[in-house]
Amino acid sequence: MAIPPGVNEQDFRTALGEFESAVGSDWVFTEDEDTRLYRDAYSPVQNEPEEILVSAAVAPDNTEEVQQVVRTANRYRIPIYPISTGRNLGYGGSAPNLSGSVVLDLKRMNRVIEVDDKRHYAIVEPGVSYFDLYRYIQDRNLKVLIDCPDPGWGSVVGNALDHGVGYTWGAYRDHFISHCGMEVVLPDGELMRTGMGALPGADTWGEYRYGFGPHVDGLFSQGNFGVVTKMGFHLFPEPEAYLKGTVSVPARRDIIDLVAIVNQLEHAGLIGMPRYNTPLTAHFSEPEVAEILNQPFARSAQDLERWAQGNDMAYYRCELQFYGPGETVRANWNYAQRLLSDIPGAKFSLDHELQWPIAADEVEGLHKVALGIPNMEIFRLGTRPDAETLGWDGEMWFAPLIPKSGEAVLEAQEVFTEAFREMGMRSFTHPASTPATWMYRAFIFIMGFPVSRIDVEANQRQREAFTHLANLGAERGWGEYRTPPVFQDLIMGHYSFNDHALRRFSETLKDAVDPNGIISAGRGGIWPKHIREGRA
Amino acid sequence: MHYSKFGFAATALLLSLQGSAQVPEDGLTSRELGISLESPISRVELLERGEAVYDYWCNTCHGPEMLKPGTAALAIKYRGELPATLTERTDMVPEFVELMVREGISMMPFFRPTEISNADLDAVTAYLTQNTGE
Ligand SMILES: Cc1cc2nc3c(=O)[nH]c(=O)nc-3n(C[C@H](O)[C@H](O)[C@H](O)COP(=O)(O)OP(=O)(O)OC[C@H]3O[C@@H](n4cnc5c(N)ncnc54)[C@H](O)[C@@H]3O)c2cc1C
Repeated sequence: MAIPPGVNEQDFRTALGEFESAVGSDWVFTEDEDTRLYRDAYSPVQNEPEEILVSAAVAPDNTEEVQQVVRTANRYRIPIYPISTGRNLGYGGSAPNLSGSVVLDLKRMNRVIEVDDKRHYAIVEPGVSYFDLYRYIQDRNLKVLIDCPDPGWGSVVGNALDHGVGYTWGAYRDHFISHCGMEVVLPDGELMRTGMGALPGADTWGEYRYGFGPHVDGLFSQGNFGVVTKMGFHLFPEPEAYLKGTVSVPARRDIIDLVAIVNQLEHAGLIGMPRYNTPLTAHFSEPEVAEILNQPFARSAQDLERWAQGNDMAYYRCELQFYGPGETVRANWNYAQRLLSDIPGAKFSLDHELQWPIAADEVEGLHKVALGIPNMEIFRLGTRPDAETLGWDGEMWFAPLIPKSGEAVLEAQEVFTEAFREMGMRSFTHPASTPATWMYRAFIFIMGFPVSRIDVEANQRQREAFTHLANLGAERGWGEYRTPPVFQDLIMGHYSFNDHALRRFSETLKDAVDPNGIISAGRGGIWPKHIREGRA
Repeated sequence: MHYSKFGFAATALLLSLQGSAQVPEDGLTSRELGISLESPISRVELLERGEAVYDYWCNTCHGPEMLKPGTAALAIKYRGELPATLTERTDMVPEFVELMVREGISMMPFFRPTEISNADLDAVTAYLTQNTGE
């Protein structure tokens, strides 16, 4: 039996006994065949000494059981690590930051407490997946959309707590921003509610997030101050119509005006999530284009643009998504075309128009999450025969935040593509790379680095490259928004203003709130005192 | 909807097993599926439960449509030598199903007993191997 670090075997056995009394012996897992199911399935250090393994897992069914487990853990100083559905693939999976931790698996707590389609919010437990919440809403014919990430199996709570993101309208797709009030078990087992949940008898938990006093909810996201057992979320009222139109522009530097105009549309509340892409990648394996891309950056950028124009192809496209009354979405699309026509050579196409309720056959082939429909189609990433990802066993996401400007996109294209060239690696970026737009007010220049189940050396090379790019980005002020555990110390280290004042503040809070350092040690780069001191 | 048909069957099953279980208003959630089997059930019930587990946990990636990633991956892997949709296979043995669920393969991660309990795994294994050898 594995024993958590710093815990003696006798105490651990006693604690396991208490866990069993709290949740029932069926829901305490100590056998290797079960505990290995809490590894990170996409771990970039799998089968290496750094791989994080857990000593046990405990799966409570309700908040009282969570409290009992946390009290026991606190008594015997057992490191625990809460997960909701533990599908954080690409950013750590179900594994903790500290090897030997006991995972607190909240998947069994999967009650939808409430969905209100007149006041537009939901309150859910951690085990509720996007599929579950969607089904609950569909079964009751409620008139609200949920904003889901690409994989529908994740937890509404867990995703939000790692600052997860989705695909519909403005702030709804920033899942932590759209949350409203939470219930948390603190490290000593005490129960706290934030926002209006703190006011006994209030019926506004799902509506007003701040309540009164300091807004502490942020501490529980990418943090380690408690176990969240319920969370409220604002929901998007089901609109009448959806319209998607695409604008195409011919030149590389058109991204500057394109982003400026699309920002204007989005921040004024006229469009939902815009999606930038380039039609050129489909031609990258053609010998002529491959040769162009093989040159130093400035040259390849110039030649790629010339090639695109010579073949009458757009350099970038941006899909614009409109949600609202039928008349309004059409009028807004017209307005968008009027603004975007200022870009010489801009072309437009109207791609889809839909009306709610949407029938299943109408969405085949469409990006379903943009319509609030959870699914798993994103995982085809790894299955297309032509895809570079074929043969990958998973990925780790490199996800730096860059400004929401065309200038920043041009700079990121160059910085990262040149870096790959210098490392002698095939580049994940190129002179037509486009930013991801999940964040309402910033771009993410995301790349997936492959992870292998068997090739340790390949994983080591990818980790080195990841680290190099993260450092390079940080020099330019581009920080990761989220990262797998092996990189969390590195990334927190980048957020270093005034001698790491932010991290020091979190550590001060950590020591006060969780003096035994039992909850999610190391998460977000915040370690409890005894581990910090052991390292210094 | 296909789903609620088995939601009903599994609800009946759940009631017969647990007596006091709450009747879900509609549809199945993992909550109803996550019960542990306390008394023996008939083969028919086992297969019904296996189908419900399959629909809830497996179908989102392994359904018959080519947009489903598991099906798309198996179409590439088997190149027509075996069906890409798992429910059409006649060659799977229980050990294989269990291995895939608890080990995963390539990008498909493993599933934990808090998701697919051992009893659910038995049921879905029975469901997926019912035509084996035919
Ligand atoms: C192909 C692919 C596509 C993806 N697309 C997206 C996407 O579009 N958008 C996106 O956001 N992500 C995406 N991801 C990343 C990830 O898979 C999802 O964000 C997923 O929803 C996170 O896992 P989860 O919901 O199961 O959360 P969990 O794994 O349960 O939780 C994540 C972390 O939050 C903390 N936590 C969870 N629950 C609690 C709690 N109750 N109390 C305290 N702390 C807690 C823990 O530290 C935990 O490790 C993608 C991944 C892959 C592989």
